[in-house]
Amino acid sequence: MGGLGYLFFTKIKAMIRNIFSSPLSGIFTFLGVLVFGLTFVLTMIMQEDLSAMGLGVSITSMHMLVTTYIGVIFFFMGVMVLQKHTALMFKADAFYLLSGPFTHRMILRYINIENIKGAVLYGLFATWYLACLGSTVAGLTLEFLVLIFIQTLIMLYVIISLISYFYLLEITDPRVKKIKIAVFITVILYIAALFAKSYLTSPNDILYAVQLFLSDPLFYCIPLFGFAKFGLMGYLEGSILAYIISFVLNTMLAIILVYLIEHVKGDFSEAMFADAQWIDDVRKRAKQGKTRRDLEAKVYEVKDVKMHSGARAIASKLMLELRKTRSFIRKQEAGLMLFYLAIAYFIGMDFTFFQYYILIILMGSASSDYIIMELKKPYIYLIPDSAGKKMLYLLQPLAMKMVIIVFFGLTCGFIVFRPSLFSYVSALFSITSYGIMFTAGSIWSIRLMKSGNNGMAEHLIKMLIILIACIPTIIATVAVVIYYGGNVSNEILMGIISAVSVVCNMLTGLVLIYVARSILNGAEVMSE
Amino acid sequence: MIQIKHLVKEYGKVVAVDDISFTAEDGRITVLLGPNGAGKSTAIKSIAGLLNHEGDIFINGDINTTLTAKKNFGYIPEVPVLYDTLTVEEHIHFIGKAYRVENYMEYADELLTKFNLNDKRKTPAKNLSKGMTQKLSMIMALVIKPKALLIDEPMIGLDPQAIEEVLELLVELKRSGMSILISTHIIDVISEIWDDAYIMNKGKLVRKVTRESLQEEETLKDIFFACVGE
Repeated sequence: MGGLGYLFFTKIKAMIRNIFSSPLSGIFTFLGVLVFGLTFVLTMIMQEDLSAMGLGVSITSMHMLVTTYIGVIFFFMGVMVLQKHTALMFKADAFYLLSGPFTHRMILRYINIENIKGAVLYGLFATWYLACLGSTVAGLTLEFLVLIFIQTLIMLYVIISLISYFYLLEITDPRVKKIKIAVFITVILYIAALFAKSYLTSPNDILYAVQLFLSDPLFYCIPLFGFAKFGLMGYLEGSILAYIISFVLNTMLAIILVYLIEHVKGDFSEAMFADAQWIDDVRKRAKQGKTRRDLEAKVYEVKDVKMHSGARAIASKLMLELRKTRSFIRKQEAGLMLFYLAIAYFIGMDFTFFQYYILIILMGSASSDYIIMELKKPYIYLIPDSAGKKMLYLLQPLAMKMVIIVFFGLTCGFIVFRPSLFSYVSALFSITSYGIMFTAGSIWSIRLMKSGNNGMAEHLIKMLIILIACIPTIIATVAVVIYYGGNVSNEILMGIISAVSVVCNMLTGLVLIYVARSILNGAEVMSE
Repeated sequence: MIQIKHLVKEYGKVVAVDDISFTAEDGRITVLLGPNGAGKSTAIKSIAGLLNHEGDIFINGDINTTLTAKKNFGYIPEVPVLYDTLTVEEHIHFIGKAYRVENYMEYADELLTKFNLNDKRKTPAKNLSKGMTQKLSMIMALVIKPKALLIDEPMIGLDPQAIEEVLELLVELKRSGMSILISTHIIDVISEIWDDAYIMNKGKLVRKVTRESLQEEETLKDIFFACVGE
């Protein structure tokens, strides 16, 4: 095996070895994989149950599901296309490949092979995401999941290869960037035109217009995405030939791109090495809790700066930073909320279901990035104030953000789904109480994992903390049911249970956060 | 032999290296000296093929970007570039296979012993100390038995004992006929081993000095400060 082949396989082996290098990391990774697999199993069980009950899946729902799924992948491509700065490899790869005895063709072939890894990892995650989405509709069969995974793998490989190809061309001709964006915009305009056509057919019934759009066969003409949908919907409608045709078409796209990449001319060494150095810096800073957004964020001038004293200065400083980068609530978070609102509405779900989406957004927003960043600096430990107060003010911006997300999200849901006022108000309290538990999960995941080197383990710890924190709630709920029994009506009982759950969640979350305050007494995190 | 002919490197309007020419001869240790920002690292990276440039660079008669040239030179960067999760041994295997060096592990074993890294063979790079990563970086450049060696700030991160070991090794390699080019701004460290010195300042070569040409009582440091100012 040549040097590059050895490097490729050794890196995979080393990555797995690294994940299991500490018992805690290994256990949580294993549990993460288990949960991952369980999602697929649950969605398959759901499908079997519904079939056994004679409940079929409506083709409209499947169009919605598949189109949403492909839309998310298209969005992913859009994010990559519109990146201001990108890199094809990390510094170590760039250093050895560009200074070592490798021809251009060998380097480009290595890039093509490395792209497979990205496609497989993202493909697994994307298929899992679809399994989650699918479970909200009707469940999916194992066969369909496998076919989705294969189709996704090819789609993602084509996307990653396309981005790589454009990157290489841009080095020698910056005009290629405009072509890249033009291609992307053309696809968007085509999709918009299809929607406009459907809307004009039925302007008074938006739901019907959406259904027409989702099932429009002209969508299948879009290379890659349209082909994929053609194959998946063809399979669902009983035509394996359609799937084979789409598989062949997309595979051909992949092969063409592989060929084009390996035959790119020009000297790309300097640009590739510089970009590799840059992405390495981004990665190193990410380990310190600084995201790429933070590094590339524009800094605005802020007036009326008020710095409070003692531990409260921590909150003042954090709010100042957020205001300077205008990153308190990001556009993507608001966009995601509206996106989920649209999905819930068009699938035909209700306000209760929409609350689950708010929870998903909250889980992502209860991010430990800025907390890790603060904990990696010595100042927070040196401030002469109690650990409890420091914890309070450290979490203040996060708490404010969560309240805003919950209020904004649920209010939008209230407007669209028109639940009762009681449901709306109780949802506000209930979701907020979960937000407090997610925050407790974030703090404890930092406390246990310290360095944040294993993202999967960190997420799993968060979920585990949340599950453990639910135990008091479960106990209290059972106690309420036993105590009140059949003495009150179901509505009153549900109301009592909701209130008890909220109180328990809040208390448990706050207690966990309070107990974790000792993290601010010493430099446990800094020593990593 | 490393030959640089009319090397120019510009970053936009900034001329980082302004038409420099010099040769690092076989069997001699050549030092590229200069203050921070003089253009030394840019020159070294250009030689290593990591930067586009104007002018010609030859490694043993071959243009530096050709495969033949790349197989004949080793490059030790200022900051070690390693794969965090790969062990010391895996790094060596990668380089040995990539450069198609026969029986590379025999020489690697010698180097691992010399640099006291024998007990760290199975240690991932991310768990090595700064000094150890520097040593591993050196081993990777040396295991291919290059004819020319390029080193950028070799002693950063090394303890005094390791510095002595490296200096001894460099002298040994020089005696075997290797041409060695060291870029540094810390003169004291290389004061005992250098043969030729080129002093850079603001992108230009301002002086060439050979050890043989030094006057009595004159030191390289004196010449350096005279050239670049205190």
